[in-house]
Amino acid sequence: MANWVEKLENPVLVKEMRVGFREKKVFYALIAWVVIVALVASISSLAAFEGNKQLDKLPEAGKYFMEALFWVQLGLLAMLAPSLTTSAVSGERERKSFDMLLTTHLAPSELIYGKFGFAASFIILALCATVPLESIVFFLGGVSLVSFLTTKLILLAFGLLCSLYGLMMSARENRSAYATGQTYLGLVFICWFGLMGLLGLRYGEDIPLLVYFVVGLTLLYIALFLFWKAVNHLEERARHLKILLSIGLTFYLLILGTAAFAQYSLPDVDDAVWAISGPVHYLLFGLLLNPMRPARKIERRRFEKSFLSRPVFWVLLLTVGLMLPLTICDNDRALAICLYGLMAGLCSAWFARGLSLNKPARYPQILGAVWLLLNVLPAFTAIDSFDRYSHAWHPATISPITMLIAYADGHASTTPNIAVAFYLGLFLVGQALHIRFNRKKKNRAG
Amino acid sequence: MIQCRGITKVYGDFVALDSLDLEIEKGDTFGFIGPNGAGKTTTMRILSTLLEPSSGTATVGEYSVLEHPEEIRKLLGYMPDKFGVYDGMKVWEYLDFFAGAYRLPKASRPQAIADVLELTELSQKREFFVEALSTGMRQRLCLAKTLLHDPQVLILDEPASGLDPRARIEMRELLKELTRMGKTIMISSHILPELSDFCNRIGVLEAGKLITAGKVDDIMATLQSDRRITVKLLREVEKAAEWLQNHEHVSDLDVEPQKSILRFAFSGELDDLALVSQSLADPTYGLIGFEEDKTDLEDLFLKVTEGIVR
Repeated sequence: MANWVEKLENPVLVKEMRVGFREKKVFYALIAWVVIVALVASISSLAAFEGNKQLDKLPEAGKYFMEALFWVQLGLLAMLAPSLTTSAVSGERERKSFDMLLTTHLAPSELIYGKFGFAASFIILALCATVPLESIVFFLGGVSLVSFLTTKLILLAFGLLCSLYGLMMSARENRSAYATGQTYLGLVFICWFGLMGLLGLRYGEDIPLLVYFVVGLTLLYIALFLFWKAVNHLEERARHLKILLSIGLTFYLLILGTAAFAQYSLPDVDDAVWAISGPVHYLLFGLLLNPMRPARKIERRRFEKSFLSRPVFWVLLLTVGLMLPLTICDNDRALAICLYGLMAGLCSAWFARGLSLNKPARYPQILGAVWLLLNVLPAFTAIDSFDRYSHAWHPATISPITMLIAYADGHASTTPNIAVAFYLGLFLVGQALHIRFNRKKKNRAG
Repeated sequence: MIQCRGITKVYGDFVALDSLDLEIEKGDTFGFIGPNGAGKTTTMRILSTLLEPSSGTATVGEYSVLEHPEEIRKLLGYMPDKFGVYDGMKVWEYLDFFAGAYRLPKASRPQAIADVLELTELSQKREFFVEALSTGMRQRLCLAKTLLHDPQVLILDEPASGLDPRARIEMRELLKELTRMGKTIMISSHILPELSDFCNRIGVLEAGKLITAGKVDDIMATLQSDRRITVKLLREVEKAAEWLQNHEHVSDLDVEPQKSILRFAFSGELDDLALVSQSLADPTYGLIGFEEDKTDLEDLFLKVTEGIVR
């Protein structure tokens, strides 16, 4: 037993706890957190009482009070959570202690886990510190314990994801200033899309429980992805990439399984689940676009031995996965998702190749950025698609461009064809550029 | 214990290491000499599994740096030339962190920490915060953390750089102690006298190329075709100089009449040199000093790198 405890002990976490909680700034940050939440609690409780003085309206005041505290803590977390990790690894590099850490017997994953553990502890501490203030809501009513705990869980998940994103950037960059800048810039976009999704979930009506399950699963996937991506930035290893791809594969199969289960067992939610399955494909492809080949020759050889490294495998798998709606669900939406996914699979396979070159040229980066823009947007807009049953299939699950074309054209049924043509064109252009780049490279080498 | 075969490291168009071949036996203390930018740190980082060579192979204790970096890290203690310490940590906490990182069993950590603190003479500073330590003490602390897991091989990159003379002497004594403990040590420096005391083998690196490597005495003997002799007389310096000038094995004679000192290069055997000393021992000259100049590592380095322009 003692051996197991010793094996689970993480020296980085112990060190971060020792050093981190000794620092005055951590203490001040916690004080500032509580003071700001207390101020908002005071103002919002006054405002809530002002409009709901009658006894029967107190639950309304309670809801208002809880909402105010939720949003202020969400804002605070967006600012504070990344700052806990943006200098976690880059700071080690700046301090010149990184090499010493790498030559110890610590695995890169332990290093990242230790750094993340400290950030998570602080976030949990901060969220617990405001519980006494928030508990006022139980005097007012209108918020159940489950709802209260769910709110806290959402805040925790948001905070942890923000800190993981900061950690990933910190592992990628050599300088903390760059890591901080890139983290907050990235979070501006992510928070915007995240807020849309959050608004949909918090204020949407009759949202099936299954949707919460799928969203939770997706968040877990993103967290695991960010974690292992950070690990791989620390030291590029074939096994890290294999883990990343295995997580993607597991997640994908789980989503497909959930969709199939919902189709057979819960006929009322089939559209919602398949609509979710669209964004999941976007997300999976989008994240898989990251370079998936280690720079070190020996690790590259190890990685290339795995079937997970083969774009053909992914294209086949995703094609089969996307064909499933055709066999299970006989509607236009399923067809649209299927066709989109097929094209997306081809494109992502090509981008994965392009980006994994030793010295990536500018074109895959530009096209990669365009690709992400086209795909991340609909991933989040599609969450808002559950009540739009007026369309035979939901154009938002294709891409903003095809959606605009469809609306401008006034014939939504033509959109899948346009989408197919668009992605096929993108794939062919990319392939042509890729061949040209390789030819130039060979000429240079010659 | 350490083998490099044709290691080359290229950064763009710049060749940092050019086909380096090197062999270090178990128990050797190998001094890596070379000016800044010669490729010493690059070599050490490759051997410490922190850098991949562009071509060539390197092994430490029969493990390839490319294939089995984890195994090498168990054998190896690496001390970088520049390193930072964590503020807000006490000396023992700093060592406890690295003991954990080196996977030392929890029960044996206090003893291991006490041992390295004693070896590096930092026992008194156990409860001090690391930011309060002087540069010399931080260097010793870094060495202490490198020794925690009792590595067979030590790679020390400029361990005495930035130290004052006293701290440098202390560091030298510490390194001598490690040599006595039978560790295989690879140490780099561009301050040559600090290596000459305890290195049994050296390698001279310049512009990414290994110019020479081997036992210090062998390299000295190869380079020293002529012995440099200094003679101090009480009188008749001019007469002695005239006699030496005509000697068949004497060349490059330099006379300092004010100090009554003669310096010359001698190309003969030791028996011939004994005859010269006997001749000068004649009471006419009043011989009070006759010695062979010792060539140190600085002279050696200047000799082997003569004519090489980076």
